[in-house]
Amino acid sequence: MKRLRLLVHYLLMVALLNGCGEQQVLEKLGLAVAVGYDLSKDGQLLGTTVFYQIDPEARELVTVISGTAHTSKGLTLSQNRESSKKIVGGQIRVVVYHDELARKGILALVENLTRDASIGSNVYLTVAKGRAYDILTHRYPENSNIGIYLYQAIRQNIDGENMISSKLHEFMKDYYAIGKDPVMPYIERVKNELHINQIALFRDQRLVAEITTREGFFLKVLRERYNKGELEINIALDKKRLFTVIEHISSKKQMKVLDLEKPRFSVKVKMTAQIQEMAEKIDLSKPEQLNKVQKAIELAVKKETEQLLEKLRKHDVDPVGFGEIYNIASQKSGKKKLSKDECREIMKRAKYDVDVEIKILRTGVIG
Amino acid sequence: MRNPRLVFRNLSCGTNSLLLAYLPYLVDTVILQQVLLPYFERLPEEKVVPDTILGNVPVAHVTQTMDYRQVSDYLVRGWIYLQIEGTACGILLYVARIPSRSLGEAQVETQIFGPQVSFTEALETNLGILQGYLSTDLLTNVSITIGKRSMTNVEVCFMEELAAPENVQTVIQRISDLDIDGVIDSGKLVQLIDDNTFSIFPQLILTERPDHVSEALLEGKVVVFVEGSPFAIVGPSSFVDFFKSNEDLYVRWQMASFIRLLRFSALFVSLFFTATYVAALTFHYEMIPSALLVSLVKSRSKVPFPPLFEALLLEMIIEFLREAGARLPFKVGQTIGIVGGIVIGQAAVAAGFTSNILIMIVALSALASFTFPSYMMSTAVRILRFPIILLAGIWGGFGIMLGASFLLIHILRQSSLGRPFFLPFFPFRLHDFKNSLIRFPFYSLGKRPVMTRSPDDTRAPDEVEKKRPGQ
Amino acid sequence: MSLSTFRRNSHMAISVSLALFMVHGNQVGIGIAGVQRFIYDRVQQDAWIAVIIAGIMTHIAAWFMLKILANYKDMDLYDIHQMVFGKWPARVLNFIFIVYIMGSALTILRGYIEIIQSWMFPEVPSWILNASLLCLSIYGVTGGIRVLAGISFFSVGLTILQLLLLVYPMQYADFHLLQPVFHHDLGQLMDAAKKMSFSTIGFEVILFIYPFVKEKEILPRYVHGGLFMTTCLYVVVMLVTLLYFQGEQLKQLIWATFMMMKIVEFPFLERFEFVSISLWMLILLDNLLTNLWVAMRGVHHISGVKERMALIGIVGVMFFASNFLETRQSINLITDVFGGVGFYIIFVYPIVLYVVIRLFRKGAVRT
Repeated sequence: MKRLRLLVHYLLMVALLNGCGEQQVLEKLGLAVAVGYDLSKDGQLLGTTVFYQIDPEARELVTVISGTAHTSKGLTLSQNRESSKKIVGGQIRVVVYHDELARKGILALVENLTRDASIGSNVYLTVAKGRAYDILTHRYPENSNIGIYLYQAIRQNIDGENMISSKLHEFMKDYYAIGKDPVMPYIERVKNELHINQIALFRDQRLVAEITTREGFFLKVLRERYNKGELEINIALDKKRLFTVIEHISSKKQMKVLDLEKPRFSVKVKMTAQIQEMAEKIDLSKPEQLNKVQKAIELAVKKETEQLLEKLRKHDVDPVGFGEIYNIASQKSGKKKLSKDECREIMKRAKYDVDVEIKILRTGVIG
Repeated sequence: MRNPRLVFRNLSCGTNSLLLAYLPYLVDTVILQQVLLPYFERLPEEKVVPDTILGNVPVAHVTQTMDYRQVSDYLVRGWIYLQIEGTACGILLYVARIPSRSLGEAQVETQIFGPQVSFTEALETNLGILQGYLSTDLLTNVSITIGKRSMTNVEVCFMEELAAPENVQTVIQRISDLDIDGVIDSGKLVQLIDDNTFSIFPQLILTERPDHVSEALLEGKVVVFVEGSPFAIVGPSSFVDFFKSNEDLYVRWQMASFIRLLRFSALFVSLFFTATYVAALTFHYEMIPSALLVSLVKSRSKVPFPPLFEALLLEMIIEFLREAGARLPFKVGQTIGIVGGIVIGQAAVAAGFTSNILIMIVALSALASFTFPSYMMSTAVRILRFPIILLAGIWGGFGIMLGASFLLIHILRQSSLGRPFFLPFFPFRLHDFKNSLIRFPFYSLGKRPVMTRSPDDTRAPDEVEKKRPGQ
Repeated sequence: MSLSTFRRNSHMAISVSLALFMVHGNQVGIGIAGVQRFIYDRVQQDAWIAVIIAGIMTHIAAWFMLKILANYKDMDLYDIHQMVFGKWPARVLNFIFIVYIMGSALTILRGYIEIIQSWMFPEVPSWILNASLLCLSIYGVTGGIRVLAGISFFSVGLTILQLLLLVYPMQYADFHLLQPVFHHDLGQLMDAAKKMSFSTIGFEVILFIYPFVKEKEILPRYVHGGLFMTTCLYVVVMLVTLLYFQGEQLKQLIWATFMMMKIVEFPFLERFEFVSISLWMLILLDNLLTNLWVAMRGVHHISGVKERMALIGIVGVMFFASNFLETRQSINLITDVFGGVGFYIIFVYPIVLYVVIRLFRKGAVRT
């Protein structure tokens, strides 16, 4: 009995001493925070990595390194050769794709991110106007850490519901969906600042168009549940045009297929909001006045939504996921599941009946 | 009896010649001089027989003996031997004044609220204090003398009707079976009678608090006192019992529950916090949130050691400080704690030995281990931290879990006086659970714990009904 | 620990409510980590219905098992075989059972180590991880049935706690993905349910713990309770997986459950899947311990070898066997083999045995 116990202990010791896992000690790593992918002139990939390195001698906490290769893994290898630390992807927060690269398709690059167990699904994917290299290597006077700056800027916009979220998981989910297309924030460097005021629309894996964040608002309302945020809107009231701001918007949408043969969808949007600002003094405490304003806002929202849908159809993209709904409906009526291309063909002929219902809950602290 | 200090005193009272023998340092000389000697003076002139003295000597305990060997046993316990010349049997008079200190406050298990008195080294005093708490004849003692050389008195106390006979029997059996030359303290005895000597966890509670002991007796537990030890052994005790302080009963149940939960979270913090740091920094850098990453990176940047070594080093420093504080004289000890803590901590960071964050983590896990009322348990937990840190440094999260699983299996295998050690959790007993992680109000604690298997498991049926809310 | 305590422990009785935990704990193992894609392959969005059917199948099989056991007082399957078939046929049957039990223990062990290797430590040799877990299980099994029940109890607790974390992936749920419901015929659903059965087996443990359970007359309700809990758990996990992933995405995921945990993040901790994989050890350990214990009792029964020696022999065999399974293919192969065999052993064989007992041994075996 005693000998057995000893044997067990001995085996345990051997196991512990020999089986030490490969260490990834923090200070021996270059922790990549942001990664950018560009198309270099000779058709190769140009990768730029922003990473932390722990070095008491280094003046800067953040270093940028770049390299060219044919694949993203090849990039990591070539960058590792240049760097004194092993560059690892476990802390990547943002990935930036050059828009020209995105126009050619980025599926392989994105899929490589998901294949790597160390990369999380919370990584934000973005498209950059111009080269990602320029955005990541530029020295911003106010922010020394471009990786975190970019991450926080995107995150802040998404949390504030000004931007549609495009985490790695969400992109892949939309990409693989039959009848739904992914979107990404479109970032742009203007002098020393980063602007995120466009949304990149993808057709499958290719960037095809972009919309403004204002249009993005209506897209977001159609894509998901909307909980907060605000909108400045131009309404027509008593034949006058005036601006109003509604905020604390929360919305629900409902989409149905009205006709399978000649694809027609009913799009119902229900919103509750609070009026924050009116360009003109209108007495909102009277119910009929309030009703009028409500109707006017409904009309304006409806119009802009219709314009957006028209634009999406024109670009032949479907970020809302009408194809998905159509597919379900057609399967329910006994047809076979459609493929991606069939779905897209059908969606080209789609018509939409938009119906917006807005309820003004409050009118600020004054009547 | 070969003791040179043994005093022989011949007294001639009339026709009687008396021989007194005693050990002066064990005998109350005041009584001897002011009570006994005058009494012997007043003895009748004619020959006295031992029965006369036995009948009217003004001493509480007297006994008669004819056995020489017995006499020395008594003498070393503070009795006076009296021999009347011409009679065969001797008389033993109890005039002991065993050197002992007076009652003091509890030093090891301090508590803010509730009784402050603690047991002392004198067995008699301890039994006296206990009887003061439980003035009932149900409190029963069984005296056993153990140690071939030390002849130590051990008292097994339990409440008749409440304690399960098999528990009492187990304790008595284990104590009487001991074949050892001497047991000086209950700390030694407890290791000789517990269920598994190889376990790092204590399986029987040692406490110096009479209120704790009284409560335990009322729960149907068995208590063992050892002559010369201020700590009583309480059993059967479950793992959870080591995290209960008697103070939890004196404060309101919401506060008590909060404090209990605090202690249990302290258990996990103490065991796994440093290990998690090591695992995250050595293997799972992905798990570090971005907000924390920058400060971690900055504080680690000057440290030349791998996290495992860094953590072990700092844990060792903390243990050194603790041990130094415990061994040094009281006044010095206090300053060592503060000076050592601050100075070494500051200097270690400044010298680039460790990172600030680790100092915080190690201090926190040391602090957490001090929240346990049981000194034994807190020491066990502090020691267990080291293998877990080591495992974390070898296999990261997998290693931590390996250690945790081993601990869980180990605890599940233990028993205390034959009762499952992990009781209210496993086997899960709802009733005991009400007084474990949290303490429910007393109206729902009307039963004795399942742990003790008490023959009479109802504690307060009437009270319970009356205090039920809404009635 | 001396041999005598060991023997006493292993013959200790457990209270009947623990049967629930042992059944549930032994069912939930490595299967739940990645079974989703196999079911999705067959019945797509109706996968959850297949899970329910598989759950019902377990109830039926358990009903037969309990009926068989109730015929014999204080006997486990090994004894019953001997009673029904006589000495030598019983030995053969028992041997088949032991091999099957060891095989499924091996699958579980190897499956978990595969996860550890692909997620955390690719370069740690698997024999060391094997040895460490097997040593731990020797320590556990020698603690007797109480320790098994205890580990089951805590592993169930841990499973339920982790289940709560599915709230995080639920934030990305897309309810369109479940539609259209009931779009597969019964044959397809049964086929998927059969595939699911590998993840639901484990409740055969009641055949072996039966003599140790205290109040046998109320055992059925706890067994069925445990089975019901498992079915509920699987349905929830399956539903969340279907909502969280696109089907095409899901098809590629070997461990969909851990992929879902990737999205969980706390302010102090991100990438929960690393924690989850580590915590999974307890869930796996409970399977491993129970299977080893059952196999140990079996070897003891047919050969009369001391339980402890039997255990060491079994662990030795498993250790060597597991070292032959190095590649993903070989692991998949063994999983398929034992999953397929398991279906007949666990779901079909009890019915056969029940019929045999009813028809041929009526009256003679009743005690």
